[in-house]
Amino acid sequence: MKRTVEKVLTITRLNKVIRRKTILKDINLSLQAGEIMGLIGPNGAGKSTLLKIVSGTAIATSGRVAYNRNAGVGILPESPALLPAMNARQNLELLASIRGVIGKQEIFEALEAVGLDPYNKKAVGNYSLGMKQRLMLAQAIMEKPKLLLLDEPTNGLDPLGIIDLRQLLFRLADEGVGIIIASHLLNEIERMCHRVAVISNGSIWREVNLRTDEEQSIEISVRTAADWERLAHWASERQLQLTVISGAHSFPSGMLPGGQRVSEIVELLTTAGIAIEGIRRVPISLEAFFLECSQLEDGVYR
Amino acid sequence: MIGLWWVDTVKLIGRRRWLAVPLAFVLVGVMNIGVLSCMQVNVNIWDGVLGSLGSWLFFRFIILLLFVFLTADSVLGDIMGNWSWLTLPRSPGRIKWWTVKVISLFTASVFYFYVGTLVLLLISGACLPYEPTLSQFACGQSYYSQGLPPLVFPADANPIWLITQFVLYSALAAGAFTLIPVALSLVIRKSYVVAIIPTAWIFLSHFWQSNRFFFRLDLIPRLFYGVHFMSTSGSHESITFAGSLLYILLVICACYSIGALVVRKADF
Repeated sequence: MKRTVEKVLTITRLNKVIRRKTILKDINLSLQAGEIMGLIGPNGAGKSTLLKIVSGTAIATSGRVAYNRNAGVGILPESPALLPAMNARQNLELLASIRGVIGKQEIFEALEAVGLDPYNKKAVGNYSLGMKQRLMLAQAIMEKPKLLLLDEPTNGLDPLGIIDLRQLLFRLADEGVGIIIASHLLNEIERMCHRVAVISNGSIWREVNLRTDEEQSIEISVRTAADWERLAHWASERQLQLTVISGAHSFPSGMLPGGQRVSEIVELLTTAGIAIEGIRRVPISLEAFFLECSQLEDGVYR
Repeated sequence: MIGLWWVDTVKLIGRRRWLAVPLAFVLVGVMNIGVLSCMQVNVNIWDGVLGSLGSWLFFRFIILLLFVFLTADSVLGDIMGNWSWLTLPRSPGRIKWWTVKVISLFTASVFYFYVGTLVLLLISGACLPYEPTLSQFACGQSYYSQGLPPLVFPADANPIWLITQFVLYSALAAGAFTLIPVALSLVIRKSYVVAIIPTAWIFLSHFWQSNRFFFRLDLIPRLFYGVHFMSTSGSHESITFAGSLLYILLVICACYSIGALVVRKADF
Protein backbone atom coordinates (compact mmCIF):
# COMPACT_ATOMS: atom_id res chain seq x y z
CA MET A 1 0.00 0.00 0.00
CA LYS A 2 1.28 3.44 -0.90
CA ARG A 3 2.37 5.49 2.10
CA THR A 4 1.14 9.01 2.51
CA VAL A 5 3.20 11.81 4.07
CA GLU A 6 0.36 12.97 6.29
CA LYS A 7 1.55 13.82 9.81
CA VAL A 8 -0.32 11.98 12.51
CA LEU A 9 1.46 13.66 15.42
CA THR A 10 3.31 16.92 15.94
CA ILE A 11 4.94 17.79 19.25
CA THR A 12 6.21 21.34 19.52
CA ARG A 13 8.45 22.77 22.26
CA LEU A 14 7.06 20.49 24.90
CA ASN A 15 8.22 20.91 28.48
CA LYS A 16 7.27 19.09 31.63
CA VAL A 17 8.33 20.20 35.07
CA ILE A 18 7.29 18.37 38.23
CA ARG A 19 8.12 20.01 41.54
CA ARG A 20 10.81 22.17 39.96
CA LYS A 21 12.44 19.14 38.37
CA THR A 22 12.55 19.20 34.59
CA ILE A 23 11.28 15.90 33.25
CA LEU A 24 11.02 16.87 29.58
CA LYS A 25 12.80 19.79 27.98
CA ASP A 26 11.95 21.40 24.66
CA ILE A 27 10.78 18.26 22.89
CA ASN A 28 10.06 18.63 19.19
CA LEU A 29 8.91 15.55 17.33
CA SER A 30 6.68 14.65 14.46
CA LEU A 31 5.38 11.34 13.22
CA GLN A 32 4.12 10.54 9.77
CA ALA A 33 1.34 8.18 8.88
CA GLY A 34 2.79 4.70 8.43
CA GLU A 35 5.95 5.51 10.34
CA ILE A 36 7.21 3.49 13.29
CA MET A 37 9.34 5.51 15.66
CA GLY A 38 11.31 4.14 18.57
CA LEU A 39 11.99 5.99 21.79
CA ILE A 40 15.06 4.83 23.64
CA GLY A 41 16.89 6.17 26.62
CA PRO A 42 17.96 5.22 30.13
CA ASN A 43 15.43 4.59 32.90
CA GLY A 44 13.90 7.86 34.03
CA ALA A 45 14.84 9.65 30.82
CA GLY A 46 11.22 10.72 30.25
CA LYS A 47 9.97 8.21 27.66
CA SER A 48 6.83 7.13 29.52
CA THR A 49 6.08 10.71 30.57
CA LEU A 50 6.22 11.76 26.93
CA LEU A 51 3.79 8.98 25.97
CA LYS A 52 1.50 9.95 28.84
CA ILE A 53 1.42 13.56 27.71
CA VAL A 54 0.67 12.57 24.12
CA SER A 55 -2.11 10.25 25.28
CA GLY A 56 -3.61 12.95 27.49
CA THR A 57 -3.10 11.17 30.81
CA ALA A 58 -0.49 13.74 31.83
CA ILE A 59 -0.44 17.48 31.21
CA ALA A 60 2.52 19.32 29.71
CA THR A 61 3.85 22.36 31.54
CA SER A 62 4.20 24.11 28.19
CA GLY A 63 4.28 23.26 24.52
CA ARG A 64 1.83 21.71 22.11
CA VAL A 65 0.77 18.21 21.13
CA ALA A 66 -1.30 18.03 17.97
CA TYR A 67 -3.02 14.98 16.50
CA ASN A 68 -6.44 14.13 15.21
CA ARG A 69 -8.33 13.27 18.38
CA ASN A 70 -11.35 12.11 16.41
CA ALA A 71 -9.19 9.42 14.82
CA GLY A 72 -8.39 8.22 18.32
CA VAL A 73 -5.19 7.10 19.94
CA GLY A 74 -4.35 3.54 20.92
CA ILE A 75 -2.32 3.09 24.06
CA LEU A 76 -0.43 0.17 25.50
CA PRO A 77 0.77 0.98 29.04
CA GLU A 78 3.87 -0.63 30.47
CA SER A 79 1.93 -3.04 32.67
CA PRO A 80 -1.41 -4.66 31.80
CA ALA A 81 -4.55 -3.03 33.21
CA LEU A 82 -7.51 -5.35 32.77
CA LEU A 83 -10.51 -6.58 34.71
CA PRO A 84 -9.37 -10.02 35.92
CA ALA A 85 -12.83 -11.50 36.46
CA MET A 86 -13.90 -10.92 32.85
CA ASN A 87 -12.81 -12.75 29.74
CA ALA A 88 -10.90 -11.10 26.88
CA ARG A 89 -13.96 -10.25 24.78
CA GLN A 90 -15.85 -8.79 27.75
CA ASN A 91 -12.88 -6.60 28.63
CA LEU A 92 -12.70 -5.23 25.10
CA GLU A 93 -16.46 -4.78 24.80
CA LEU A 94 -16.45 -2.81 28.03
CA LEU A 95 -13.66 -0.50 26.87
CA ALA A 96 -15.21 -0.16 23.41
CA SER A 97 -18.47 1.01 24.98
CA ILE A 98 -16.80 4.25 26.13
CA ARG A 99 -16.47 5.68 22.63
CA GLY A 100 -19.06 3.46 21.03
CA VAL A 101 -17.47 3.61 17.58
CA ILE A 102 -16.92 -0.11 17.00
CA GLY A 103 -18.98 -3.25 17.30
CA LYS A 104 -18.39 -6.93 18.02
CA GLN A 105 -16.93 -7.56 14.58
CA GLU A 106 -14.02 -5.16 15.16
CA ILE A 107 -13.41 -6.64 18.61
CA PHE A 108 -13.24 -10.14 17.14
CA GLU A 109 -10.84 -8.91 14.45
CA ALA A 110 -8.61 -7.23 17.03
CA LEU A 111 -8.45 -10.39 19.15
CA GLU A 112 -7.63 -12.51 16.13
CA ALA A 113 -5.01 -10.00 14.98
CA VAL A 114 -3.08 -10.44 18.22
CA GLY A 115 -3.42 -14.22 18.19
CA LEU A 116 -6.12 -14.61 20.86
CA ASP A 117 -9.22 -16.75 20.53
CA PRO A 118 -12.31 -14.49 20.63
CA TYR A 119 -14.38 -17.42 21.93
CA ASN A 120 -12.09 -18.15 24.87
CA LYS A 121 -14.20 -17.85 28.02
CA LYS A 122 -11.26 -17.98 30.41
CA ALA A 123 -11.10 -15.09 32.86
CA VAL A 124 -8.25 -12.70 32.12
CA GLY A 125 -7.00 -13.15 35.67
CA ASN A 126 -5.91 -16.65 34.64
CA TYR A 127 -3.99 -15.45 31.57
CA SER A 128 -0.22 -15.61 31.32
CA LEU A 129 1.65 -12.29 31.16
CA GLY A 130 2.18 -12.77 27.43
CA MET A 131 -1.54 -13.33 26.80
CA LYS A 132 -2.39 -10.25 28.88
CA GLN A 133 0.07 -8.24 26.82
CA ARG A 134 -1.55 -9.49 23.60
CA LEU A 135 -4.95 -8.50 24.97
CA MET A 136 -3.64 -5.06 25.89
CA LEU A 137 -2.41 -4.71 22.35
CA ALA A 138 -5.85 -5.74 21.08
CA GLN A 139 -7.53 -2.98 23.11
CA ALA A 140 -5.03 -0.50 21.70
CA ILE A 141 -5.74 -1.38 18.05
CA MET A 142 -9.41 -2.36 18.16
CA GLU A 143 -10.76 1.12 17.43
CA LYS A 144 -8.41 1.44 14.46
CA PRO A 145 -6.61 4.56 15.72
CA LYS A 146 -4.30 6.55 13.48
CA LEU A 147 -1.79 6.91 16.31
CA LEU A 148 -0.51 4.07 18.44
CA LEU A 149 1.60 4.57 21.58
CA LEU A 150 3.30 1.45 22.91
CA ASP A 151 5.25 1.46 26.16
CA GLU A 152 7.48 -1.63 26.36
CA PRO A 153 5.22 -3.70 24.07
CA THR A 154 7.42 -6.80 24.21
CA ASN A 155 7.02 -7.15 28.00
CA GLY A 156 6.12 -10.74 28.80
CA LEU A 157 6.03 -11.85 25.16
CA ASP A 158 7.82 -15.04 24.13
CA PRO A 159 9.92 -15.03 20.90
CA LEU A 160 6.90 -16.07 18.84
CA GLY A 161 4.88 -13.28 20.43
CA ILE A 162 7.59 -10.78 19.56
CA ILE A 163 7.63 -11.95 15.93
CA ASP A 164 3.81 -11.70 15.78
CA LEU A 165 3.98 -8.21 17.28
CA ARG A 166 6.57 -7.12 14.73
CA GLN A 167 4.47 -8.41 11.83
CA LEU A 168 1.33 -6.79 13.22
CA LEU A 169 3.06 -3.43 13.61
CA PHE A 170 4.43 -3.60 10.06
CA ARG A 171 0.92 -4.33 8.80
CA LEU A 172 -0.57 -1.45 10.78
CA ALA A 173 2.14 0.87 9.49
CA ASP A 174 1.33 -0.22 5.95
CA GLU A 175 -2.27 0.76 6.68
CA GLY A 176 -1.11 4.27 7.59
CA VAL A 177 -0.97 4.06 11.38
CA GLY A 178 1.76 6.12 13.05
CA ILE A 179 3.38 4.15 15.86
CA ILE A 180 5.64 5.20 18.72
CA ILE A 181 7.40 2.46 20.67
CA ALA A 182 9.25 3.07 23.93
CA SER A 183 11.46 0.12 24.71
CA HIS A 184 14.73 -1.02 26.15
CA LEU A 185 15.09 -3.88 23.68
CA LEU A 186 17.40 -2.18 21.21
CA ASN A 187 17.51 -5.13 18.82
CA GLU A 188 13.74 -5.06 18.51
CA ILE A 189 13.68 -1.31 18.06
CA GLU A 190 16.27 -1.68 15.28
CA ARG A 191 14.12 -4.29 13.56
CA MET A 192 10.76 -2.61 14.00
CA CYS A 193 11.37 1.10 13.69
CA HIS A 194 11.97 3.41 10.78
CA ARG A 195 13.31 6.13 13.03
CA VAL A 196 14.61 6.33 16.56
CA ALA A 197 14.73 9.23 19.00
CA VAL A 198 17.20 8.94 21.82
CA ILE A 199 15.96 10.67 24.97
CA SER A 200 18.49 11.66 27.54
CA ASN A 201 17.91 13.84 30.57
CA GLY A 202 14.47 14.79 29.29
CA SER A 203 15.67 16.05 25.92
CA ILE A 204 15.80 14.48 22.49
CA TRP A 205 19.53 13.92 22.30
CA ARG A 206 19.54 12.54 18.80
CA GLU A 207 17.18 11.32 16.10
CA VAL A 208 18.35 8.55 13.81
CA ASN A 209 16.74 7.38 10.62
CA LEU A 210 17.32 3.63 10.46
CA ARG A 211 16.09 3.18 6.93
CA THR A 212 18.23 5.63 4.97
CA ASP A 213 21.70 5.25 3.50
CA GLU A 214 22.76 8.55 5.06
CA GLU A 215 23.17 7.07 8.51
CA GLN A 216 24.65 3.70 7.50
CA SER A 217 28.42 3.46 7.01
CA ILE A 218 30.04 1.19 4.42
CA GLU A 219 32.69 -1.31 5.44
CA ILE A 220 35.25 -2.23 2.76
CA SER A 221 38.07 -4.76 2.88
CA VAL A 222 40.70 -5.05 0.13
CA ARG A 223 43.12 -7.82 -0.82
CA THR A 224 46.59 -6.28 -0.48
CA ALA A 225 48.44 -3.38 1.14
CA ALA A 226 48.84 -1.86 -2.31
CA ASP A 227 45.08 -1.98 -2.78
CA TRP A 228 44.68 -0.29 0.59
CA GLU A 229 47.04 2.51 -0.51
CA ARG A 230 45.03 3.02 -3.68
CA LEU A 231 41.78 2.98 -1.68
CA ALA A 232 43.10 5.61 0.76
CA HIS A 233 44.20 7.78 -2.14
CA TRP A 234 40.84 7.31 -3.88
CA ALA A 235 38.99 8.31 -0.71
CA SER A 236 41.10 11.41 -0.04
CA GLU A 237 40.58 12.57 -3.65
CA ARG A 238 36.82 12.46 -3.03
CA GLN A 239 37.17 13.95 0.46
CA LEU A 240 35.66 10.84 2.06
CA GLN A 241 36.88 9.95 5.50
CA LEU A 242 38.29 6.42 5.53
CA THR A 243 38.54 5.01 9.03
CA VAL A 244 40.91 2.08 9.50
CA ILE A 245 39.29 -0.77 11.40
CA SER A 246 41.66 -3.73 10.86
CA GLY A 247 44.51 -5.03 8.75
CA ALA A 248 47.28 -6.44 10.94
CA HIS A 249 46.27 -10.10 10.63
CA SER A 250 43.50 -9.93 8.07
CA PHE A 251 42.60 -8.14 4.89
CA PRO A 252 43.06 -4.40 5.25
CA SER A 253 39.67 -2.87 5.88
CA GLY A 254 38.11 0.45 6.66
CA MET A 255 34.85 2.31 7.03
CA LEU A 256 33.46 4.87 4.63
CA PRO A 257 30.70 7.28 5.68
CA GLY A 258 27.09 6.65 4.59
CA GLY A 259 25.22 8.54 1.93
CA GLN A 260 26.51 6.59 -1.09
CA ARG A 261 25.22 3.58 -2.93
CA VAL A 262 27.24 0.39 -2.48
CA SER A 263 26.84 -0.51 -6.16
CA GLU A 264 28.29 2.87 -7.22
CA ILE A 265 31.29 2.47 -4.92
CA VAL A 266 31.96 -1.04 -6.24
CA GLU A 267 31.89 0.28 -9.80
CA LEU A 268 34.19 3.23 -9.01
CA LEU A 269 36.73 1.10 -7.10
CA THR A 270 36.80 -1.54 -9.81
CA THR A 271 37.41 1.16 -12.41
CA ALA A 272 40.27 2.48 -10.21
CA GLY A 273 41.79 -1.01 -10.24
CA ILE A 274 41.27 -1.75 -6.55
CA ALA A 275 40.65 -5.42 -5.72
CA ILE A 276 37.73 -5.50 -3.30
CA GLU A 277 37.65 -8.46 -0.95
CA GLY A 278 34.38 -7.53 0.71
CA ILE A 279 31.93 -4.66 1.03
CA ARG A 280 28.80 -4.28 3.16
CA ARG A 281 26.56 -1.63 4.61
CA VAL A 282 26.88 -1.53 8.39
CA PRO A 283 23.55 -1.12 10.20
CA ILE A 284 23.37 1.62 12.79
CA SER A 285 24.18 0.34 16.23
CA LEU A 286 21.56 1.62 18.66
CA GLU A 287 23.60 0.10 21.41
CA ALA A 288 26.42 2.51 20.59
CA PHE A 289 23.98 5.45 20.66
CA PHE A 290 22.52 4.24 23.91
CA LEU A 291 25.92 3.88 25.54
CA GLU A 292 26.93 7.30 24.30
CA CYS A 293 23.82 8.91 25.74
CA SER A 294 24.24 7.00 29.01
CA GLN A 295 27.77 8.34 29.24
CA LEU A 296 26.36 11.81 28.87
CA GLU A 297 24.49 11.20 32.08
CA ASP A 298 27.67 9.99 33.80
CA GLY A 299 26.11 6.56 34.24
CA VAL A 300 23.87 7.92 36.97
CA TYR A 301 20.08 7.74 36.88
CA ARG A 302 18.59 11.15 37.47
CA MET B 1 -20.65 9.62 28.77
CA ILE B 2 -23.13 6.80 29.28
CA GLY B 3 -20.57 4.31 28.02
CA LEU B 4 -17.96 5.68 30.39
CA TRP B 5 -20.43 5.59 33.29
CA TRP B 6 -21.24 1.97 32.48
CA VAL B 7 -17.54 1.03 32.35
CA ASP B 8 -16.78 2.79 35.63
CA THR B 9 -19.77 1.29 37.40
CA VAL B 10 -19.02 -2.23 36.18
CA LYS B 11 -15.38 -1.79 37.20
CA LEU B 12 -16.43 -0.55 40.62
CA ILE B 13 -19.00 -3.20 41.48
CA GLY B 14 -17.57 -6.04 39.39
CA ARG B 15 -14.68 -6.73 41.75
CA ARG B 16 -14.39 -9.84 43.86
CA ARG B 17 -14.36 -7.76 47.03
CA TRP B 18 -18.08 -7.03 46.47
CA LEU B 19 -18.74 -10.63 47.44
CA ALA B 20 -18.37 -9.29 50.99
CA VAL B 21 -21.62 -7.30 50.58
CA PRO B 22 -24.15 -10.13 51.03
CA LEU B 23 -22.00 -11.62 53.80
CA ALA B 24 -21.88 -8.31 55.70
CA PHE B 25 -25.63 -7.76 55.38
CA VAL B 26 -26.33 -11.35 56.47
CA LEU B 27 -24.21 -10.63 59.55
CA VAL B 28 -26.04 -7.36 60.25
CA GLY B 29 -29.45 -8.94 59.64
CA VAL B 30 -28.78 -11.85 61.97
CA MET B 31 -27.36 -9.62 64.71
CA ASN B 32 -30.36 -7.27 64.44
CA ILE B 33 -32.82 -10.14 64.78
CA GLY B 34 -30.82 -11.34 67.77
CA VAL B 35 -31.12 -7.91 69.40
CA LEU B 36 -34.86 -7.74 68.65
CA SER B 37 -35.37 -11.21 70.14
CA CYS B 38 -33.61 -10.18 73.34
CA MET B 39 -35.83 -7.11 73.65
CA GLN B 40 -38.98 -9.29 73.50
CA VAL B 41 -41.06 -6.74 71.60
CA ASN B 42 -43.64 -7.22 68.87
CA VAL B 43 -41.86 -6.69 65.58
CA ASN B 44 -42.46 -7.66 61.95
CA ILE B 45 -40.54 -8.14 58.70
CA TRP B 46 -39.93 -4.39 58.24
CA ASP B 47 -38.10 -4.13 61.54
CA GLY B 48 -35.49 -6.48 60.09
CA VAL B 49 -34.59 -3.80 57.56
CA LEU B 50 -35.21 -0.64 59.60
CA GLY B 51 -33.43 -2.08 62.62
CA SER B 52 -30.37 -3.07 60.56
CA LEU B 53 -30.04 0.15 58.58
CA GLY B 54 -31.26 2.28 61.47
CA SER B 55 -28.95 0.91 64.13
CA TRP B 56 -26.11 3.34 64.44
CA LEU B 57 -23.69 0.66 65.60
CA PHE B 58 -24.33 -1.73 62.70
CA PHE B 59 -24.52 1.13 60.28
CA ARG B 60 -21.25 2.82 61.21
CA PHE B 61 -19.03 -0.16 61.86
CA ILE B 62 -20.24 -2.62 59.26
CA ILE B 63 -22.38 -1.07 56.53
CA LEU B 64 -20.71 2.33 56.11
CA LEU B 65 -17.20 1.07 56.76
CA LEU B 66 -17.57 -1.74 54.23
CA PHE B 67 -18.85 0.67 51.61
CA VAL B 68 -15.85 2.92 52.22
CA PHE B 69 -13.47 -0.02 51.80
CA LEU B 70 -15.24 -1.13 48.63
CA THR B 71 -15.26 2.16 46.81
CA ALA B 72 -12.96 4.80 48.29
CA ASP B 73 -10.00 3.71 46.14
CA SER B 74 -12.00 3.97 42.91
CA VAL B 75 -9.85 6.78 41.49
CA LEU B 76 -6.58 5.88 43.17
CA GLY B 77 -6.87 2.26 42.02
CA ASP B 78 -7.43 3.40 38.45
CA ILE B 79 -4.33 5.57 38.57
CA MET B 80 -2.11 2.99 40.27
CA GLY B 81 -3.35 0.13 38.08
CA ASN B 82 -2.94 1.99 34.76
CA TRP B 83 -6.69 1.69 34.10
CA SER B 84 -6.84 5.47 33.67
CA TRP B 85 -4.50 5.05 30.66
CA LEU B 86 -7.27 3.09 28.98
CA THR B 87 -10.29 5.18 29.96
CA LEU B 88 -9.06 8.78 30.06
CA PRO B 89 -7.92 8.98 26.41
CA ARG B 90 -11.25 7.47 25.38
CA SER B 91 -13.20 9.98 27.47
CA PRO B 92 -14.74 13.14 26.04
CA GLY B 93 -12.80 15.26 28.57
CA ARG B 94 -11.21 15.30 31.99
CA ILE B 95 -14.11 17.02 33.77
CA LYS B 96 -16.56 14.59 32.22
CA TRP B 97 -14.28 11.74 33.29
CA TRP B 98 -14.37 13.00 36.89
CA THR B 99 -18.12 13.64 36.74
CA VAL B 100 -18.67 10.07 35.63
CA LYS B 101 -16.45 8.84 38.49
CA VAL B 102 -18.68 10.67 40.97
CA ILE B 103 -21.89 9.44 39.37
CA SER B 104 -20.54 5.87 39.34
CA LEU B 105 -19.78 6.15 43.04
CA PHE B 106 -23.39 7.07 43.78
CA THR B 107 -24.65 4.36 41.42
CA ALA B 108 -22.53 1.84 43.30
CA SER B 109 -23.91 3.21 46.54
CA VAL B 110 -27.51 2.72 45.43
CA PHE B 111 -26.66 -0.78 44.19
CA TYR B 112 -24.91 -1.56 47.47
CA PHE B 113 -27.85 -0.51 49.64
CA TYR B 114 -30.44 -2.21 47.46
CA VAL B 115 -28.54 -5.49 47.41
CA GLY B 116 -28.08 -5.16 51.16
CA THR B 117 -31.77 -4.41 51.72
CA LEU B 118 -32.73 -7.42 49.64
CA VAL B 119 -30.51 -9.61 51.80
CA LEU B 120 -32.00 -8.08 54.96
CA LEU B 121 -35.54 -8.65 53.66
CA LEU B 122 -34.75 -12.28 52.91
CA ILE B 123 -33.38 -12.83 56.42
CA SER B 124 -36.14 -10.97 58.22
CA GLY B 125 -38.72 -12.65 55.95
CA ALA B 126 -37.45 -16.01 57.15
CA CYS B 127 -37.41 -15.05 60.85
CA LEU B 128 -40.11 -12.41 61.40
CA PRO B 129 -43.85 -12.34 60.59
CA TYR B 130 -45.18 -10.39 57.64
CA GLU B 131 -47.49 -7.43 58.27
CA PRO B 132 -48.56 -4.76 55.78
CA THR B 133 -47.77 -1.94 58.21
CA LEU B 134 -44.89 -0.91 60.43
CA SER B 135 -44.78 -2.42 63.90
CA GLN B 136 -45.74 -0.49 66.98
CA PHE B 137 -42.15 -0.80 68.11
CA ALA B 138 -40.91 1.02 64.99
CA CYS B 139 -43.52 3.76 65.42
CA GLY B 140 -42.96 4.10 69.15
CA GLN B 141 -39.86 4.12 71.26
CA SER B 142 -37.63 1.96 69.07
CA TYR B 143 -33.93 1.81 69.61
CA TYR B 144 -33.33 2.63 65.95
CA SER B 145 -31.08 5.64 65.66
CA GLN B 146 -29.14 6.95 62.73
CA GLY B 147 -28.01 9.94 64.69
CA LEU B 148 -28.07 10.45 68.42
CA PRO B 149 -31.82 10.54 69.13
CA PRO B 150 -33.92 7.44 68.35
CA LEU B 151 -35.83 7.43 65.12
CA VAL B 152 -39.62 7.37 65.26
CA PHE B 153 -41.42 6.35 62.09
CA PRO B 154 -44.90 7.62 61.15
CA ALA B 155 -47.52 4.95 61.89
CA ASP B 156 -49.38 5.47 58.61
CA ALA B 157 -46.27 5.20 56.43
CA ASN B 158 -46.15 2.66 53.63
CA PRO B 159 -43.27 0.34 54.69
CA ILE B 160 -41.99 -0.24 51.14
CA TRP B 161 -42.02 3.46 50.29
CA LEU B 162 -40.39 4.30 53.62
CA ILE B 163 -37.64 1.73 53.15
CA THR B 164 -37.10 2.97 49.60
CA GLN B 165 -36.59 6.50 50.94
CA PHE B 166 -34.41 5.20 53.74
CA VAL B 167 -32.23 3.26 51.33
CA LEU B 168 -31.93 6.11 48.81
CA TYR B 169 -31.09 8.60 51.53
CA SER B 170 -28.49 6.26 53.04
CA ALA B 171 -27.04 5.69 49.56
CA LEU B 172 -26.82 9.43 48.94
CA ALA B 173 -25.22 10.06 52.32
CA ALA B 174 -22.79 7.12 52.04
CA GLY B 175 -21.80 8.32 48.57
CA ALA B 176 -21.20 11.84 49.89
CA PHE B 177 -19.16 10.52 52.81
CA THR B 178 -17.00 8.32 50.54
CA LEU B 179 -16.55 11.15 48.08
CA ILE B 180 -14.39 12.89 50.69
CA PRO B 181 -11.55 10.29 50.66
CA VAL B 182 -12.00 9.84 46.89
CA ALA B 183 -11.43 13.58 46.29
CA LEU B 184 -8.63 13.60 48.84
CA SER B 185 -6.91 10.69 47.09
CA LEU B 186 -6.53 12.86 43.99
CA VAL B 187 -4.34 15.19 46.01
CA ILE B 188 -2.58 12.72 48.30
CA ARG B 189 -2.04 9.60 46.24
CA LYS B 190 -1.44 7.18 49.06
CA SER B 191 -3.56 4.11 49.65
CA TYR B 192 -3.71 4.80 53.38
CA VAL B 193 -5.62 8.02 52.71
CA VAL B 194 -8.60 6.19 51.29
CA ALA B 195 -8.76 3.67 54.12
CA ILE B 196 -7.43 5.23 57.30
CA ILE B 197 -9.08 8.65 57.18
CA PRO B 198 -12.70 7.47 56.87
CA THR B 199 -12.10 4.61 59.30
CA ALA B 200 -10.60 6.91 61.92
CA TRP B 201 -13.45 9.34 61.33
CA ILE B 202 -16.11 6.67 61.87
CA PHE B 203 -14.47 5.51 65.10
CA LEU B 204 -14.02 9.04 66.45
CA SER B 205 -17.55 9.92 65.44
CA HIS B 206 -18.87 7.00 67.45
CA PHE B 207 -16.81 7.34 70.58
CA TRP B 208 -17.04 11.13 70.81
CA GLN B 209 -20.71 11.39 69.89
CA SER B 210 -21.60 12.78 73.29
CA ASN B 211 -18.94 15.43 72.98
CA ARG B 212 -20.83 18.52 71.88
CA PHE B 213 -17.77 20.17 70.39
CA PHE B 214 -16.90 17.16 68.26
CA PHE B 215 -20.56 16.62 67.38
CA ARG B 216 -20.64 20.07 65.83
CA LEU B 217 -17.58 19.23 63.72
CA ASP B 218 -18.66 15.72 62.86
CA LEU B 219 -20.24 15.21 59.46
CA ILE B 220 -21.64 11.76 59.99
CA PRO B 221 -24.72 12.54 62.12
CA ARG B 222 -25.56 15.36 59.76
CA LEU B 223 -25.12 13.20 56.71
CA PHE B 224 -27.22 10.31 57.88
CA TYR B 225 -30.19 11.99 59.51
CA GLY B 226 -33.23 10.25 58.09
CA VAL B 227 -35.74 11.60 55.62
CA HIS B 228 -38.81 12.38 57.68
CA PHE B 229 -37.80 10.50 60.77
CA MET B 230 -38.89 12.74 63.54
CA SER B 231 -36.51 12.50 66.40
CA THR B 232 -37.33 12.54 70.05
CA SER B 233 -34.27 14.58 70.65
CA GLY B 234 -34.55 15.03 74.38
CA SER B 235 -31.34 16.54 75.60
CA HIS B 236 -29.49 15.70 72.38
CA GLU B 237 -28.77 17.93 69.45
CA SER B 238 -31.32 17.57 66.69
CA ILE B 239 -30.88 18.13 62.97
CA THR B 240 -33.75 18.64 60.56
CA PHE B 241 -34.16 16.82 57.28
CA ALA B 242 -33.63 20.05 55.33
CA GLY B 243 -30.45 20.75 57.27
CA SER B 244 -29.19 17.23 56.69
CA LEU B 245 -29.95 17.28 52.97
CA LEU B 246 -28.32 20.68 52.59
CA TYR B 247 -25.28 19.34 54.39
CA ILE B 248 -25.06 16.33 52.06
CA LEU B 249 -25.41 18.51 48.97
CA LEU B 250 -22.76 20.92 50.23
CA VAL B 251 -20.33 18.06 50.86
CA ILE B 252 -21.00 16.66 47.38
CA CYS B 253 -20.55 20.08 45.73
CA ALA B 254 -17.36 20.83 47.66
CA CYS B 255 -15.76 17.44 46.93
CA TYR B 256 -16.84 17.50 43.29
CA SER B 257 -15.41 21.01 42.83
CA ILE B 258 -12.12 20.13 44.51
CA GLY B 259 -11.87 17.00 42.38
CA ALA B 260 -12.69 18.92 39.19
CA LEU B 261 -10.03 21.52 39.97
CA VAL B 262 -7.40 18.85 40.61
CA VAL B 263 -8.36 16.64 37.68
CA ARG B 264 -7.98 19.51 35.18
CA LYS B 265 -4.24 19.64 35.79
CA ALA B 266 -3.46 16.23 37.27
CA ASP B 267 -1.13 13.61 35.83
CA PHE B 268 -2.50 10.07 35.87
